[in-house]
Amino acid sequence: MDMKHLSRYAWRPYVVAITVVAAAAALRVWPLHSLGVSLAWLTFYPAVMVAALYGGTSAALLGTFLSCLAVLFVLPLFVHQPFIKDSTDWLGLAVFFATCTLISGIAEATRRAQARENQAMAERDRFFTLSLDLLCVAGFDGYFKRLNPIWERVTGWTTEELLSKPFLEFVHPEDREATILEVQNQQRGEAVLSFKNRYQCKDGSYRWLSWKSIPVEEESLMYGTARDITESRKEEEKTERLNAELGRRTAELEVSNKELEAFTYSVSHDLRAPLRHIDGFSKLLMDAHSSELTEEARDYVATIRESTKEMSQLVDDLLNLARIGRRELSLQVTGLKTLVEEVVSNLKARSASRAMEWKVQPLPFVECDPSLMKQVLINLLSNAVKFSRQRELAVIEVGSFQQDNQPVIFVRDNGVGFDMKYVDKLFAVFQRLHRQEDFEGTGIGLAIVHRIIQKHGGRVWAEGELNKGAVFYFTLGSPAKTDSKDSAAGGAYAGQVHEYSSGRG
Amino acid sequence: MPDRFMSILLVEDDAKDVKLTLHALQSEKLCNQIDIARDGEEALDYIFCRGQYAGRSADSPPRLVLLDLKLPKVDGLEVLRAIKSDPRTKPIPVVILTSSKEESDVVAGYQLGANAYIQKPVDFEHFRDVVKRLGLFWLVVNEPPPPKAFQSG
Repeated sequence: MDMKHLSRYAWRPYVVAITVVAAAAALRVWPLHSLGVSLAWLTFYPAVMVAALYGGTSAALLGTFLSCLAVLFVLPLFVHQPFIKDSTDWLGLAVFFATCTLISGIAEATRRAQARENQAMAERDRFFTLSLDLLCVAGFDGYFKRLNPIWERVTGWTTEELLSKPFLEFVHPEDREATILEVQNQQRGEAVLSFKNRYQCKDGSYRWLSWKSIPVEEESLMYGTARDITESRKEEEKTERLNAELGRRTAELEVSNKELEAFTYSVSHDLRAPLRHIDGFSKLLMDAHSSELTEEARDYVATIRESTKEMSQLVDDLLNLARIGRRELSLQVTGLKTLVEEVVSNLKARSASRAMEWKVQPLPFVECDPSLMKQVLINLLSNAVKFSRQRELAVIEVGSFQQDNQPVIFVRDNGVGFDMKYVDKLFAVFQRLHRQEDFEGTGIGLAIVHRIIQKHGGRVWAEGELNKGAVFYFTLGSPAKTDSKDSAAGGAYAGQVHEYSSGRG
Repeated sequence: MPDRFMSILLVEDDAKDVKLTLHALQSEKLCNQIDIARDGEEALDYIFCRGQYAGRSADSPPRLVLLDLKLPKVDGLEVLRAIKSDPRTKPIPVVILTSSKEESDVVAGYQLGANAYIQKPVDFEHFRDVVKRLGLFWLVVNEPPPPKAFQSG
């Protein structure tokens, strides 16, 4: 729409008007000269109509005006007498003027309607061509009538090929029956709101199309729009497969969980009973028949009872470990300082005879399961107490520092420590680094610590040196994403740091 | 002096446990009669005076039932349910005395109306002490349900 086009368009009505009126005047003067002054407007009516047709309203109005001027002032010069003489002639002029104005109006209305329709048509065509969805007009006779270009791109067929055969031939054999049903529904006047079928492409593959279509019964046509959903369908199928797999695995897990539960239940009932009997009858033996036993025999019985107690502790610890695995965390924000002090005062009471120095630094509030956290602290702190009992003054320290934007809690003691080459075994079930007669224990305490920290999504690790002491560190929750691996800032023993991440089974 | 109603029903399937429990109970001379049921069905027969106990008088319910949970035929929780859901036997104190303190058992036990839940300690001295205190509390300290309590409902 440049200026040139506009100006040309703007001048056209006047050129048309002047030309047709001049032609009408010329016709009226020469070939129809014999008519004289009668039928003055004869050629001017068609002239105005032509002007209206080709030049629009403004040309028609100008033509009307020029026609009046010609009849009043120009034509009389050629026939040597006036055309408008009496009132009848003036009436004729008035009728001409009125009629031609009406014609102009009608011409304009018609022209506008036509223009609107053309524009609407062009718009529809533009969208039809542009659409990413597959658009079609199909007949009740089973043939496509019109298709938009995307059909060629999606199916690989040319439009001619698609129009040449009944569309059912392109539909996947398995989907044909359903497709026929949908066409029949449309023949009865029902719209298709959601329907899926597969169309064969030129390369033999099939694409999934999702349809929406409405019939126009009087035209025997169906107007349809289809979307290629092959990709999302593939994703859906994949998701379905994965979900099924997940469901199967969950079921398996549930079964093995149930089995494990039944197992621990049975262990908790049945494994303890024989122990009780061994201990009970050993005791009765000692009570009632002590005098008949030699010193050596009494020592054996005492050993039996000692072992029973150890095994009983083992069963309890194992059950505890199994229960923690099954248990749901109930998280709440907990002050670690209070929790530590509770545990410490308990331990102090139980080892009142020993010289011990407790250093409990301020500790953060963290989100954790308080009863499980208490278990962690009990295990770590009672280990610290146990393994420092050969010291004249046992020093046990609990504190925390920030690392990777999260608090690290540590428990440090000056006890017997451990050799870092065995650090791998520290947190594994039944692994012990000391002889039973030196330090009693079941080898499950740190495994329980590991399990609890793991359930919290944190990690636990340790550093130690033989005969110097040990430090146990733990975090709760996964660390902030940073690559800095600066070794524990509060660590007492530089060098190798062994980590047990939460991913470890 | 214990009166003639001072009887305890011990429901326990394991002969060794029966021996040990009897030993503990008798050493304290807390009651003059300890009846023993070796499975859940026998326990119910005893309490409801039927089957082999058809001749037993319903007017002398045991002063205390010591109930194990893992029992043949009818398990301990079922026995507890039967006792506590019948108005004639509901007032009888039932103490669960069992090997495990599995949370599910403890929860179910209390929900069904157990009067106490005790895990048998492995250490026999400890066990004897527990049984002694148990007997003292339920047979001496505690006021037993009067006969009227068994007629209500």
